[in-house]
Amino acid sequence: MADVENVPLGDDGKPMSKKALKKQQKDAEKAAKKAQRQQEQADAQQKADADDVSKDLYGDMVMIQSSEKPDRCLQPIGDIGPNLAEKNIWVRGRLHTSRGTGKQCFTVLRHQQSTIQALIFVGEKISKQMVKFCANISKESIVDVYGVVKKVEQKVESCTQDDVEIHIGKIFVVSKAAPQLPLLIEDASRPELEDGKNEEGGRPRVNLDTRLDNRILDLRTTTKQAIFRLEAGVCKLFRDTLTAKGFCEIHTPKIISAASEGGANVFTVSYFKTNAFLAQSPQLYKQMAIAADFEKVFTVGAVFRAEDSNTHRHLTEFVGLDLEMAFQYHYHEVLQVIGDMFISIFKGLRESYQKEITTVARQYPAEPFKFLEPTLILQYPEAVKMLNDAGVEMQDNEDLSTPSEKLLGRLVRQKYDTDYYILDKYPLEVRPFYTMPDPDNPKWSNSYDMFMRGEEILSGAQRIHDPEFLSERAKAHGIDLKTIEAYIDSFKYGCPPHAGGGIGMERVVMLYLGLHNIRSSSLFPRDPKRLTP
Amino acid sequence: MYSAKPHFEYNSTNVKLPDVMYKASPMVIICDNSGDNNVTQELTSLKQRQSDLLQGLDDMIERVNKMKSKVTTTINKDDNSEFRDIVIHACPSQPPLSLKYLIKMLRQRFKVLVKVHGHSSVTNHMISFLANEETTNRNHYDIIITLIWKSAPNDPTTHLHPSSSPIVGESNLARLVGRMLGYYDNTPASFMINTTTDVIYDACDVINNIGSTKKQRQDALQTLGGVLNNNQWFMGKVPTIVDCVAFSTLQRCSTTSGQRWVAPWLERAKQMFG
Repeated sequence: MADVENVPLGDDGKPMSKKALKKQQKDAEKAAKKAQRQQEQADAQQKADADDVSKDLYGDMVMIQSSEKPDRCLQPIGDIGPNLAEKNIWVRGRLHTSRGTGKQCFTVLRHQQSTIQALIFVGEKISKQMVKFCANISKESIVDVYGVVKKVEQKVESCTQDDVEIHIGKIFVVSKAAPQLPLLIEDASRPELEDGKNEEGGRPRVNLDTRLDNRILDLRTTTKQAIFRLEAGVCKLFRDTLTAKGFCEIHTPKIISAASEGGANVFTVSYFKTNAFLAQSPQLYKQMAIAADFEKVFTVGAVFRAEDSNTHRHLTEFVGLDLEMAFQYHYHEVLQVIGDMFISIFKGLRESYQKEITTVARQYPAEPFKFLEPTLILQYPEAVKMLNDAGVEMQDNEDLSTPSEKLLGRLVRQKYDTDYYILDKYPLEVRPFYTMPDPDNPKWSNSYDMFMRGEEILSGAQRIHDPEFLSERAKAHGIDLKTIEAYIDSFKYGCPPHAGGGIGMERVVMLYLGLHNIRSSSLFPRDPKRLTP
Repeated sequence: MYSAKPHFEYNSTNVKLPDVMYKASPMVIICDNSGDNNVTQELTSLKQRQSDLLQGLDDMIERVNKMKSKVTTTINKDDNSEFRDIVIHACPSQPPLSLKYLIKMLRQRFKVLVKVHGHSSVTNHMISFLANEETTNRNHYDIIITLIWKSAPNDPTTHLHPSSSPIVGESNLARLVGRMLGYYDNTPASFMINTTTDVIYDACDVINNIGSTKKQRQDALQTLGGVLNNNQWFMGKVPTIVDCVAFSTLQRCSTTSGQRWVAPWLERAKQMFG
């Protein structure tokens, strides 16, 4: 009778069977044992902590909320060398790799393009717990390390600062990284294999999609740091060279009312009650600036092309470096300026960004970029003849296809030993309607393209600055004058003869470094299939 | 008891002495028509194939001849079209001293444009050697000479077509220019001249070649001395492109001791080509 009252009830309110009862008992026992074990561990831990010599020398730092300003100088890793030997320094970097045994732990600290080895071993002041803590810090965490710089006898092959190492005295975690990384920085830094293979000798590579999905991690590799610093260098040299020649930087609108050139490859945006377009190129506004007497202008800004091309060299959004210049009598004056500008950029990169070029070459080896000074300028009929001699069947009034351009690049390289050249005098029929025809022979036009490593980087021409002639040419191309009325009106009140061109910044960097995909030189690339990050 | 015939009695009619060591069956079988059928068939079919091929060849020759008469050969201008752009790669430490004179000679017959570029591999662009000319239309010229200063080749290397192998050395460049100027026209008068010039070019090549031994160089110098033979210039009283090549070679040659004609000739040449 007493049993019936004391029978425990299961989850469904009915009295539990014997089996369930037994199971419950067993679970309770297990839980009790676990609690006891944990208690024992905690006790042991406390005891060990009490014995920990280096209690204050390591740990997770309190989140830096700007509560204090310690008088501490953090040495940049790139500056650490034998000059700091035997000195005690503070260093902040990312934990790139760490390998720990019981008694010691080897780590590599990384900061942008530089890496340095740092080690910690059990000693008088360093306890076992500290070494254990160090070995357990998750990769990519930001750490502050205090230690002494020591010269090494044997070079540390895997680090950029290969002649020194740090013996850690204190280590604190400034910002912890989640333990499971979607990609390892080491894997992302390995030189790529041919045939798109993903693994070699147990050392995996990271494929492009993974990189782009986890762009923040991918950008931390030393190679990417170098690529984008070099890209900044290209922009800086572009600006500096042109400013020194008297150019003025302008900024043109990107939301425009009429699709400028063909109307085909533009993005539409909703603009209050109507629609607007994203600018396909700053062409129209550059020319308006010339008509507004700025004479020499350049602009650095976004360019949007709604081309559904999924190739290694197309993006839907990229940075355009455009320039336009009024000339006195002949468009070759402008051609000279553009050619000289490129030479200055190449020379400047070679002089001031050699470290970056070497870093990139470690992961993406390529032949150094060759060029001639003054720039080599060939004419279209010459190029067609070279292609014909090499077996390509084409007439001299046809446009060059991409494979022809690549072949021409190789032929020019063979004959003139240059990766950069200008092709002048394109046939008129393959150029846009606003291109000025050649005065002596209307088959040709005053237009030019520039090539790097066999790929086109700039398309430019002398523009028609006379509104009547422009209307004629537009009609000859079958364009409805009403759609380009605003464009023709820009020249109504007198406009000097002018010419110019535009280059894609990412493409120039890609071709200069010999990279194979434009996404490697675009920070957060946009293509028909990618909108984030 | 036994009677044996005397074996030493020799009668030439009895004994037939062999006149060969070994006798072998004849190797050659003379085939007559009544012989093996297979062999005959193969032979006839082979003969037929041969006559067919010869017939086809005759047809082709006839067709080519017919086409030749239809297609008119292009005139002089196009013959030079393959010489449109002559690209010379040279090292600033060994400038092609004959180039200026070669250009001068070419200018007597053609419109020549001279372009000079410095390659990214060198800092010294040798501005004073040859001046870069600007033009707005390359098509106006018959010949364009593009000189590129770069660090690699020791001997000036000339490129005509990307697909053909480059022409190495100044003497070969001079031969090319000579061809463009019509020197090698295969008339009996020019045979003697061309042979002499070849001797001189070859001697220059030997002197220029890094691999030549001292003796070879001395021999070459002696040959040149012999050809010069106390004349003013190698081909007589008037300087020719041969002289400018010799000038470039001797100017660079360090070991001309023992050849007394070199120094005074070089002085004269410097005035002419320098």
